[in-house]
Amino acid sequence: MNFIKRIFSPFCLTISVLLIIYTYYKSEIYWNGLNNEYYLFYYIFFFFFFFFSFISFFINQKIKEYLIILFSSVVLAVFLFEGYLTFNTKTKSYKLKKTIT
Amino acid sequence: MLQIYEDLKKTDNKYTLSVYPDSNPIVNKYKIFPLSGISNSKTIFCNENGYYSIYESDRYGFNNPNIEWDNKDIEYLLVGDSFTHGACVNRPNDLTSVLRTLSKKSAINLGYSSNGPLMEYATLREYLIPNVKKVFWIYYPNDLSDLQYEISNNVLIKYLSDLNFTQKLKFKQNKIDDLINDTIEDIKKRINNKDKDKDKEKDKFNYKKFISFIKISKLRKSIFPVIGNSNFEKILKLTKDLTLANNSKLYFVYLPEFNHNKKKFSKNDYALIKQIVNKLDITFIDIYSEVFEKEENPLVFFPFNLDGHYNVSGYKKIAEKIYKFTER
Repeated sequence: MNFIKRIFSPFCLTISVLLIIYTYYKSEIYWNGLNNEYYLFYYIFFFFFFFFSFISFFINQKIKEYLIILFSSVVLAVFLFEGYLTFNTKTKSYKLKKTIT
Repeated sequence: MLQIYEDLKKTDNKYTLSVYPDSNPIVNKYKIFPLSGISNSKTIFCNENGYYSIYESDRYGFNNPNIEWDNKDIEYLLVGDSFTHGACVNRPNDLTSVLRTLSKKSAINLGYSSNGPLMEYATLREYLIPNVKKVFWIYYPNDLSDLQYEISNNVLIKYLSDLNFTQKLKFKQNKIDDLINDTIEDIKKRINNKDKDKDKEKDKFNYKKFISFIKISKLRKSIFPVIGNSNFEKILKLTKDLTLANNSKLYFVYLPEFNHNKKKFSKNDYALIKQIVNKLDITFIDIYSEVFEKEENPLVFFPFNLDGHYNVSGYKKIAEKIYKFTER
């Protein structure tokens, strides 16, 4: 746990910076700035994440432990649900929709 | 469909297939992105009513009698996706043909399958002629999602960012025909090799699916609304300006989908589209409230009461309503 606690803040900070750069690439380079409205939420979310990562360097170790548990639970739940949407054949009705052109 | 095509091709070399414009490679040796099909050909389209609809394409590859382009004045010009294109009925049962019959005036169909708002606007930029009185933008609820693909297309995006951009497609029909013929050959090869490749594909690691999983694409798509509302408004505004400059009146026709009165249908999208159209002061023809809502069982307008394009009576009712609306 000590190792995880040590790398948690730098890890979050690195991920948030990478996500902000990726959002900028998608919004301004890939979509030529035509979908700024859609990417606004991602900018807000990732800047909030960046801010949170920065704060996490200075918080109490006990709170950090809770945050790590909370963070990993949320990530796990999100990917489990994504896995369900990806691999559950019953959710593939969107493919039928594509036949209407 | 390929089997039908190959059988008919043996009887007459003029038979061809309807190929969606976005099925052609964006980067190709002809350096064009077509917005129509092969010209002056018997085009095999689709089968939803128990027969393959086939039409003779005009000089630009659209579903019109060729002589329509020679008329001095064009009363109706329709632009849209497969519903405007005429899927899956024969002439004279498609929207444009019924309008032509009812009004006894000229009508041109610029619809093509898989079109979204940007391709429709690009089609108008390329093919709109000066003597058109009424332009109909035929909207189907999947158009907004088509816009996502269109905006990422390097050629199409130029129609939005550069008001003087043109591919001069009217003068490049020979190239369009060659490109689509190449695409048909590619599709044939791919289908013939599909069975051979099936076993290989099973063993392959699906990178696209993996990346999509990492990016939690499906979850995000189910939470966030479709991209492009502001782009849709921008495209519609440009279309209005284009038609105004051409002295044509623009109408927006909202076509209902099979699920319109079911739980699955998003009323928000419908309200949003209506709001955008009203804001731009474009005449809105709501086919759902004008036709489908008044019918006891609106599913009779679909082939065998099943999800798909409209059937002959569906197109007829809609065209009658559009005709009456414009004659008021």
